[in-house]
Amino acid sequence: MREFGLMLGSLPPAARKALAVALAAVEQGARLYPAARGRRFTRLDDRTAAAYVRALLSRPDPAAELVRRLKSVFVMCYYELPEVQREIGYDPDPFIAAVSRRRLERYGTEL
Amino acid sequence: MRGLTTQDGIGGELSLECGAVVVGSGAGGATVAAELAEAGVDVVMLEEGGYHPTESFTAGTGRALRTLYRDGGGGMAIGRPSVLYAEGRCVGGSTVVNGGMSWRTPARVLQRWAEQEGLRAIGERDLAPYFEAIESRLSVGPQDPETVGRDSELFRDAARARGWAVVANRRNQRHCAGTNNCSSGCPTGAKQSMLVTSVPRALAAGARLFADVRVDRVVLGRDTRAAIGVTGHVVRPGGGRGPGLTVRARAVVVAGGAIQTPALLARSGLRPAAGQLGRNLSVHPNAVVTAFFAEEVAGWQGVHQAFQVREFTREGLLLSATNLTPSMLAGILPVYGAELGSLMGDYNRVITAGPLVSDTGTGRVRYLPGVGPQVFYQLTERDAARVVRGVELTAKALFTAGARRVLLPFEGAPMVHSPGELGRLLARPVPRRALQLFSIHLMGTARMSADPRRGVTGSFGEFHGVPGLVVADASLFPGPIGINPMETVIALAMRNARRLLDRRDAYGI
Repeated sequence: MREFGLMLGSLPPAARKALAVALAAVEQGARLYPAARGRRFTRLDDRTAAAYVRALLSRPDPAAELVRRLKSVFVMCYYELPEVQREIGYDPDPFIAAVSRRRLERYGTEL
Repeated sequence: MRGLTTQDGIGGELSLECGAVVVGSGAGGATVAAELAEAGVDVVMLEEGGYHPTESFTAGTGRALRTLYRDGGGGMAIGRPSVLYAEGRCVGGSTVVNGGMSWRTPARVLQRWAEQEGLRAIGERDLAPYFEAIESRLSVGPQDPETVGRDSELFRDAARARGWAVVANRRNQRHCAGTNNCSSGCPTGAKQSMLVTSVPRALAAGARLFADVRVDRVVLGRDTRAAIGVTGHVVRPGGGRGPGLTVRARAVVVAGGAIQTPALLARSGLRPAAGQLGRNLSVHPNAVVTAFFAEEVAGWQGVHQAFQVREFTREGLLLSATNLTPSMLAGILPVYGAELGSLMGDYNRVITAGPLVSDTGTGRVRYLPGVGPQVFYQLTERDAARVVRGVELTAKALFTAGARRVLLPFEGAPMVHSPGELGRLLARPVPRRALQLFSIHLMGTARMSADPRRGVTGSFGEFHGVPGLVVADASLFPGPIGINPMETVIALAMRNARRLLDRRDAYGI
């Protein structure tokens, strides 16, 4: 949530508002999805939630674009978490430190 | 840094006077500022973004998006499909977050510009001295071999195996370490961005730089209709409005990039009669093909982009492999939920590559009061077909490289497991709106033309009909250039600065 909050903070006010409205629309809009049986998005089981998202994505209106944008913001924040990055084998800091050292050792006199 | 003032150093309203005020500190703005300052002109540079030194750069994509990019990197050109775009917003501008690819403008492009728009002194020979100076000053050259990552090697070898022409990238770098951190700011300072080159040059020559200052308007003389300065305000942390700032100047140089420059000029009330301001936007649409390998690739261990496939430039296509950080990759993969989680589990077995299309369609930047710049771009059928062609070529190369499965950048596209499957999938038309596109090359919204009915600016960036106002960024381009635009922007900025200096008595600078 902290990463998401920071990301929101970097957006202009209009985009922040639009994102909040979009979140509310996706959350509450699930109630209108037949298989949801009146539940909101965060109350759905995984299978129904995935079907709801697929249904939104297949719509020929801005809803699909909205879902794509929301998904991008959420997953970008999620994959910024160090523990998630380590889990998928991405640990850049030691690598950056090593190649930076190599650069100085090899070319230090030219820099 | 001497000569630099950031928002915390500005407590109240500020009023300045100078020879030339330069709006923006990226490839265009920093270059003009350095050239003018070194010639003895009293220069004030204004940058909306913050000052973030090399020591502050880390591998955190989120940190970079929040501090170095406009609107968290989340710009969108509205259309079907929409095109996501990113603009740098920091001292050094987009050069701080680009890949550093440094290529001269192709001769055929310069010839086309000269012929179509009647531009003077813009031939290959005219620009050669500028390119030579840039390449020497910014240390432009190929990578040291030990910095090339496995993803780049595999893609290069596959392209060569298919008989395609491949070139090693030329980049502005001094023994780049290959940290793959270009888009989050170079943590070693090896990338010769404006942050570590032209900005310090300008300051050393006496220029003053005000970071965290947003320019609201270009001010015109009441009688002369000449540009006489700018007004703006300090941007406080979190985006709050700080004290106002007024700069009186004898020349105003606008270099905010192809989105912000037309927006600033439009909100300043500058509306050329021909209505070309904000039009003719080119975006070089990009698409990303994601390939999964059996072996570990760890594409993040090596330089951002080491090679380009030049076999298809006549078709307006450039192919390359460029590693994306996990968050960037997850953000663009056209899959959701558990499937996304599963694919991301193979992050170290992924190569991301794709085409850049030299587009024939154009878009528009409109400034809406209270909302800001709105960008519209409609991909043409022809360009959509070229995106698909570029995606197909990229996927074929990735299969040649040994990919086990490939995900195409089309909404709802299934995973492809072989070249045969790829052919069958692409035998059916791909709906234009299903394409997932992004751009980091925005060009052409204040295009140069000798004819004021066709362009916004003249041969040397001077705004038609407004003396003292000069544009110096990619908005000058009369069309797409088909390659990375940074070196062209710098060359045009140097050329426009030279012109200002040649006429410095007339400008009074």
